[in-house]
Amino acid sequence: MTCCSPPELDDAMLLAYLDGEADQKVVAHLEQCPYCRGRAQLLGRLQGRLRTELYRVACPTPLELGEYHLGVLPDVQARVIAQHLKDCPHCSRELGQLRTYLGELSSDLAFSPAERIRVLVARLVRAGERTDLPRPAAMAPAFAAVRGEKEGPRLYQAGEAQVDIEIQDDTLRVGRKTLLGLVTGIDAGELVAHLWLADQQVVQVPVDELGNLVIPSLVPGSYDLILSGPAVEIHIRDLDIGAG
Amino acid sequence: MSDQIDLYRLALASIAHRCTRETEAFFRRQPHDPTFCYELFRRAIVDRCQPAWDVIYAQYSPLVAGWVERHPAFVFGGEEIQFFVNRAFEKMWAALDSAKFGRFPNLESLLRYLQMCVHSAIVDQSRKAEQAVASEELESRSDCSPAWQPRHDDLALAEVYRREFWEQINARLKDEQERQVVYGMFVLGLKPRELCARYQKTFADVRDVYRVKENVLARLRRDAELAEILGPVA
Repeated sequence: MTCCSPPELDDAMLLAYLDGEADQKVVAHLEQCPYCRGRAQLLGRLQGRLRTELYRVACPTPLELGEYHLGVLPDVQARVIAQHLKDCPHCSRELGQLRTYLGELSSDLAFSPAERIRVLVARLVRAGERTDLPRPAAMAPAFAAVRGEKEGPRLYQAGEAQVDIEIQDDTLRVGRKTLLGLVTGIDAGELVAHLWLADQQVVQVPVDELGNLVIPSLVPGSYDLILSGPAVEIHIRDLDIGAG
Repeated sequence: MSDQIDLYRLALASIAHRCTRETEAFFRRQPHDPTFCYELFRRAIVDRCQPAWDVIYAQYSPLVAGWVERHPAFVFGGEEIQFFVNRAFEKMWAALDSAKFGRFPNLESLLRYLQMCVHSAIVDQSRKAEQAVASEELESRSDCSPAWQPRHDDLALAEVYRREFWEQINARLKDEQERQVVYGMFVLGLKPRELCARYQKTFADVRDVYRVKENVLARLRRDAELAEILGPVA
């Protein structure tokens, strides 16, 4: 058999036809010429075989891509995959899908911090007045009446919790202050008080089961007090301790 | 937290029981101890303890089934949920050994790996389907039915064979242009215009791509050794 309308189409034209890129002349020729049509079929079969055998042959398996993403591959293998990802749109797409998928499932693996701990910023409800008059016992920190001069109590509110703070002179260390605190309204048994000055933690002390805390020997300054527990964290900011 | 030495001494049944209890606490968003479940995985993977692995499968199958259902490509996979659950566990069991286990410091990292195995199982299926569609498209344009069948039913063997075949083809390519065309069009499945856009300095327009492809295919068809591998396509 020969071409019915020479010159016969060359292979480049036939390949373009198979890809849907051929012009009208080529399409018309093939409609009329069984010889060139037969050649196109053979080329198509060859391409089909090559595509089936070679499609994504150089791509890492989905498991390898996943291990690459999780950072559990040996360095050499990870570098090979990183290089492959620069060229391969399919693997890049699958990696993006994996990232999204793992992100959506992350809540199945760990609580978010918001779920685990409530963080509350306390607000000052009542500022202290200098007074030596005794206050009702229920409102006073346990050790409030024990030592030297004192600033008036400050009452902070954070959610259902109330934090009563009193500052007194430290009788053992001249120029230093003692912070006395009382936490009410929540279970205080597991609370720890952290005192910060200029982004450095100065001290941490446990709050007793009645809600009392004592922090002696403090240099006058403006502090941040954080009361942290398993379910809640209370922040008291800009706590002036003898600064005035 | 549990003492690690005591963990090693506990019977599997005790570890399994505590793992269940702690997992229930986790899902109630209560304080929980993940070390028992972690110890289960350690025994299964490091000690290759099959009974421990059976416990893990029973314990986590419902959770993994949920992960399968939530995967966006699951509905297109053509298989039941349990198929992918089993494939995910198989992958984890086959992939992790005592050396690799050291890269997983806690239970969360192990479960994240299991999630990744779910994704991997589903994408395996997607790739197979994609490959079948790609070859069917070319076959339909050439108006002929496939003249051959895959040589191997075993997926792993088929993959080895494909890589060897690629090495044979690659060894017969003369220059970087030919490599770009063959790799771009057959390995990556790019269309001629996409190839031109990717390698603008090499190919001025699609006619250059077809010219290179024509030369490569003519050479491959004349290759007697490849003709045996390719079968009746020339």
